[in-house]
Amino acid sequence: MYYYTPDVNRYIEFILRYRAYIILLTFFFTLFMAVMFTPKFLSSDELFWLKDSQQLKQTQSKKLSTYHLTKLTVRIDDTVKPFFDEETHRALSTLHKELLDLDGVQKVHSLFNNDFVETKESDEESEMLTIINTGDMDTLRLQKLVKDLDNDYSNFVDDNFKTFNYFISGDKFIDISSLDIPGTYTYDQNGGAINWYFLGSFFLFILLITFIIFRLLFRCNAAFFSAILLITFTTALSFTIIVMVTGIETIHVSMLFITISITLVDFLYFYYRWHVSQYKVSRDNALVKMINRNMMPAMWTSVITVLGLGSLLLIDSDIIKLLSLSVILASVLSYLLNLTFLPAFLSYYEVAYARVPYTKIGYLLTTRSLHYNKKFLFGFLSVVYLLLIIGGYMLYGKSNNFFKLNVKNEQMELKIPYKQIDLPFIQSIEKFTQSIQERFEDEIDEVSSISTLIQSLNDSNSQTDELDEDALQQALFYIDLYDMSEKYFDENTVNIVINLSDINKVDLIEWLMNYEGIELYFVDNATLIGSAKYNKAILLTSSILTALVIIGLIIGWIFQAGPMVFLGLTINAIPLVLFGTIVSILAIPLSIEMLIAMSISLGLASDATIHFAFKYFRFRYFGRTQKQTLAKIYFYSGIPVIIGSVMLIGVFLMLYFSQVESLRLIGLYSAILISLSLFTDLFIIPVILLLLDNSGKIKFNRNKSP
Amino acid sequence: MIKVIVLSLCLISNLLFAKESKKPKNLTYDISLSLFNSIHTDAITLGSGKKLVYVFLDPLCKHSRKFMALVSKNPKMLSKYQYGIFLYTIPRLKSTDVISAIYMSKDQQETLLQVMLQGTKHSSKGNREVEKKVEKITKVAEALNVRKRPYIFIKREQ
Repeated sequence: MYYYTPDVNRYIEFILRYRAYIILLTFFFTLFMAVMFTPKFLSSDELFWLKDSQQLKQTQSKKLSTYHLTKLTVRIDDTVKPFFDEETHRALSTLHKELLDLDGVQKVHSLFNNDFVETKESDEESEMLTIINTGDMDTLRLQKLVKDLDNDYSNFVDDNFKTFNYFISGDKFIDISSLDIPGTYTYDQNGGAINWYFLGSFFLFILLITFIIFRLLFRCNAAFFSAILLITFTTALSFTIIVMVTGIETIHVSMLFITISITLVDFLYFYYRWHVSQYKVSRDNALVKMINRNMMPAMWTSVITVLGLGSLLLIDSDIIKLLSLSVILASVLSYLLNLTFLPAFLSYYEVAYARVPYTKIGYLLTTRSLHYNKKFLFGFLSVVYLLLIIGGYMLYGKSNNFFKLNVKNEQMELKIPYKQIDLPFIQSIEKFTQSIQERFEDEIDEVSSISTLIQSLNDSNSQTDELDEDALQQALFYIDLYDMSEKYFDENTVNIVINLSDINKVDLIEWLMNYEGIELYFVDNATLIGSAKYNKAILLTSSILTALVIIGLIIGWIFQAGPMVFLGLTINAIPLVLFGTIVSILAIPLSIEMLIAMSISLGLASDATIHFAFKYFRFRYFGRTQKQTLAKIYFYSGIPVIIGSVMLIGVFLMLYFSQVESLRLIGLYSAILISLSLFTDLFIIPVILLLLDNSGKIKFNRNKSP
Repeated sequence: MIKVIVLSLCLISNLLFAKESKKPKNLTYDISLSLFNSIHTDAITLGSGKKLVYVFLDPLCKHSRKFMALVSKNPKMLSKYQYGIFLYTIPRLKSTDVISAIYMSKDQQETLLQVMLQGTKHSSKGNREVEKKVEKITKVAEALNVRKRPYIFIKREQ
């Protein structure tokens, strides 16, 4: 327990005797594991979500193939008027054909390949229903058509004919680098592969910055080298063990930051104690202090992580398994290495300048915390719990509208199985089209399907009136005549393309999943991922809430005090609740990067709770006053947390300015969450501890004094 | 003044009680089919598909020609459908002699395609037999209220 100081003198002697062997053993064991169980890294989260997708399983059970739907946006030069002349039209039309010819491309939807049923109600005796492809129109006619239809093609072209969208369906990510594209364009063609050259350069830059910071803070090289080695070993061992145990070989590159962050902060608790202990005591005694002061709280942080997140490993989801295992292994392995490798390595160093700057911050925070405002604290905690309840209602209520996925000018495709294309079937699609248009109004544009085509063919057919069986047969005949079958249906399924104008796609996916009129299947990966995220949102959030409750209960058990459950739960929940509020207000879509950032936050917050509370209880047990206790907490735990958090925030902010989308997201989310965690650690934990102490709800046994 | 009032009233009543000229009502499927059955043997047959499509067309009409081009050049349209083609003139195109020439020819299908796709000129005053055939087809077309060419009728699958 917190009042127990382990005797580690013999252990340190052992470490010192075999230090070289320990270092070499750690190195070669890590190397062996890295060679035997090498993970593959990806920067796209597509694979992870699709693995868990129930919708994908249903789609595959119908033997329907899925595909990637990517958007190429071309902006033509708008400095020369007219923007859209014959030459530009030809170039854009040619681009459509060239895209179709690319390897792996199945379909391309753009302004230059749309079927338009010509309405010709004339008194002439010579008349035929005509379907014109917009690709065959001249420039003026095409512009007139778009204007006449009040831009029904707004997904493909803007009103000014400056921006053109091409929706490309393919069985893989399509490389368009060989194409001559007029104007400027945007296109996501990465497909999740990692640019290791860029990433390597970025890591080197971060290493340089870290080296400079450690030099400035600690004025020695030991901090930087021990940190880098410890982080490298922990990270490598964590992911190789994941590969070995689970068989999951593909790891999201951002998951590296879970182990890096947790290990760095855990390392700093140990290193900082070793560093400052050399101010008054000898080099070897500093090692003893480092171990005996940290081994208990650090052990409890690992226990909390293992028990809090361990239960999540039973959930049949690769994402949850990977996230939980990353945090658990980072915590356990960094603990083991901090007890073995770190003292062995640090024993080669001696610190000439054992002081650390900015420690006065600790005294400042102590004074502030002692005079906390009870009203503010209760007000803040009430707001947090209110937000938690609102979040729970949004998530577990009738409609899950916590996470949003706002998209603009996108497309999605559905497949509907059929046995026969007859009138009831067409009418069921028509009803679906009406329902979706009534529900989403301006949020969606045109819904293109065999039903809409048949309706417009029938409207233009002077031989038929309302759509009956004969009129349907005529429409189907014209579809064959103009060779359009493949575009709208195959042997077993019909296609429905929904053009999304400006919509929260999660709402649409939820509506589609609950629509009972027809049996529909998602086939584009973006929608399948969206549905997997929608399905997993409750599970993921429930997992995090369960972990919070378990962490709270364990903290209560460790300190043998019921109110500590409240402390553990609250401290870990605050950053997540505040971040969740930001996510919901700004309509940030659910992503693996968000979950990784939350895992990091959870890992760091639980570590800080234990270290702060452990020291608070210990110093109060040994009879220190509240002021002395707080000063010690800030000095021994607060400063390492500040150093670690500020460094991580800096690194993550740098990542935000990288070119890799996934790293940008993890950078932004983690920087926000770690900032919130730091705020909670420094301003909320000590204050709640004081509150519980003052209320007499926690006992420090014999030596307690006010 | 009275004249103005009377005229205004007449105009208003005209507007109020005016009825939209109704589109001629189509015959029921069964009646239409029985009419087509009555001239089935007079059809020029094209294609080998399971679905039977009766078509009225004028060999000189541009839309009928487009229709024939789309059908005859598309193997899928020839294998999926079988066409029973009836030649029914559009008066302003004065195609009666061309129609007679097609009906008089030995290989009606070949001549029809030559006329409609290659623009080959054929003309004949016809004979009594052709006249009777054209008359029969015209009667059915009028009964079916065929106003546009091409006009198609698709026989339902049994």
